[in-house]
Amino acid sequence: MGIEITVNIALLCFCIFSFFYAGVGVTPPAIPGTLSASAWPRVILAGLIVALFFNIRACRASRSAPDAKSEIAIAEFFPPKFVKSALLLIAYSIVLNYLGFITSTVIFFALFSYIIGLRKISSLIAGSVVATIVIYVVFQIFLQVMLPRGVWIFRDFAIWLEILAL
Amino acid sequence: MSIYELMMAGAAVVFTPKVLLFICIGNIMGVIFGALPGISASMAVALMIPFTLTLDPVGSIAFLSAVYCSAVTGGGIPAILFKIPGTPSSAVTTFDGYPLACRGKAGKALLLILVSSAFGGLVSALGMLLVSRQLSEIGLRFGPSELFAVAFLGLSVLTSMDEDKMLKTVISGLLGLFLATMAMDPVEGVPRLTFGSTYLLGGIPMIPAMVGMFAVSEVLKQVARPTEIKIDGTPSLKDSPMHVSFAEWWSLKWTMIRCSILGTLVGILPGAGATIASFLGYGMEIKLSKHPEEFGNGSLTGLCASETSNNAATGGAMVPLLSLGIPGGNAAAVMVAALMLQGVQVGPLLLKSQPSYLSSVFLSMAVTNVLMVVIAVVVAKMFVKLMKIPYYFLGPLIILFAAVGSYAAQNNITDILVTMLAGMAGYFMIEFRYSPAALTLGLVLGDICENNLRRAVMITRGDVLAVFARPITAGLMTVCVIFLLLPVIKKFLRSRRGV
Repeated sequence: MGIEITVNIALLCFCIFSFFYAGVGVTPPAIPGTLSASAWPRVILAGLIVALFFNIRACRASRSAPDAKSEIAIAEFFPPKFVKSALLLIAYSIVLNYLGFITSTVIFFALFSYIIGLRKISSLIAGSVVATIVIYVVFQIFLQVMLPRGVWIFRDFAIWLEILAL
Repeated sequence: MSIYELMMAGAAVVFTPKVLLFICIGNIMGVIFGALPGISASMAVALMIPFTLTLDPVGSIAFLSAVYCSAVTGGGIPAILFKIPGTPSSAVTTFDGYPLACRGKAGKALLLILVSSAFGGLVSALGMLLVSRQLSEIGLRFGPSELFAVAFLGLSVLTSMDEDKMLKTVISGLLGLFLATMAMDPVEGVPRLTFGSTYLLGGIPMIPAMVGMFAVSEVLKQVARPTEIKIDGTPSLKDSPMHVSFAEWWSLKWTMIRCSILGTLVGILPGAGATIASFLGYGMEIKLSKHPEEFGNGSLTGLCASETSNNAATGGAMVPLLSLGIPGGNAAAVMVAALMLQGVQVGPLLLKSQPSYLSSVFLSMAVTNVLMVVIAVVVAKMFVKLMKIPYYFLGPLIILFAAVGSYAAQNNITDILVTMLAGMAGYFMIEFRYSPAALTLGLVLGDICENNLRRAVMITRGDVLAVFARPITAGLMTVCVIFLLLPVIKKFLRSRRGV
């Protein structure tokens, strides 16, 4: 089964589940004559279920058509570089809370540049440090955005930097 | 007071060295803040409030309106160069701006958005000056049912955004509307489709979702299948070989006029604003264009429509603020707060007791919209230089700006995760020809549609038919149905003819 049809079927199942789940915990409207909290989502979901059903049919029809192009292979759709980058993005958004902005960004930047193709160690280090400093100065110092500090020694380091910047 | 006297009173405030200097500073800061992802126009205005303490109230509002106008324009710069909407109202600018940048026409696109923005801003400022009171009275006639119809009019563009992939675009739009319902119910106050998550109680945040869909997905696409982005150098009116020709400007004249009027009217409506104005303007031009297939592929008309409409909304937003003391949007609300800090009582009597507010805001906006072109070109040149950075640095830099920009809106780390997940979803959608733009449209308009529909039904005590029986609503809904069905009928007829 192709990736697109699989995703569409998964989405269809989720929509059908959500159609019923939308009413869970929703009490009838307190004011008579008002729409309940589940009414609008259910209208949208009903439309989405019908549209997905027709889309799955259209996908199946286009796959079985004589002039159909070959299905995109999973390896082609998710090349190794993409998989590594996607995992790195997820990891970055999770570790930010623990390592703080400075440490996690230096590591993230260097690793992302490496995945894209930069191999020179000095450029990796210089690029990641400069980019982190630029973003830190713009957002933390000029715009007063409180960037994540992290925990433990990373937190102490972030606070030390903030005092230094003052 | 005659117009001449009014203008003289405004000129006496605005054309003083101090206020002019502040307007220049406001312009520079506004364009820079607008160009930084995550800093919305209202946030830019809020950040500039401390500066107003050294100005008198009339000077303050003139300064803040300069920041507001230039921030909305500044948002278009990264939208073209990096596909990152600097402000939510620039999301539509990415549709045609980025494809132009990829084709080596970044300078042309930048020049076009600056002049279009200036035109939209000037027309709306003029509208604000001349018909402020009348326009706000029309705007106030719009109740929840009319506002629902206006938002629905924005959604009616779904079937014509990509006529070849109509079903996929509709699915994307419906998905956006569905995602917008995952939050605490605004009327009953009960969690709805949040699956036990406390984060979802506040709804899926718009800025992270938009930034992820447009910026992160593009970096992931570049990582998976690198393509070269050509740069034509810095945008310049004189030297750039890619400047916009007179014939091209001439062909855009009606787009500019139509979108300026539409943007001003949308700006007046409470709760609507620059974002909705840009979507509506873009949708209107698709409907009116003889070549709708060009939209989304670097259409100059699409780019012009988006930027003219969103900047025209800035003047519109000032109308209810000045004439009735009602803030039409977030930025206007921040301006009210700034005036209240100075002890000014904002309300319907403001313009009667001090008419110079209206003319000074007009003159400030006029000066801003002219100055902005020059200042934004300088800022854009700085941003263009960023594009010469090798992609192994530029890619992660874009991700970083996207992540910190998303985080800055609410200081919530989970927003960064949402940005990354939206980026991956956006990548999938682009690969399989779904429409991230339609999803964003649904996400933006979903909340407005639902809230206004439910309020309207509440007013009519459950009589849904009565909601649509109001003349303006009925008219707008008829237009919506025509807009929604016309492409479907056209496609059906074409396929029959083909058979």
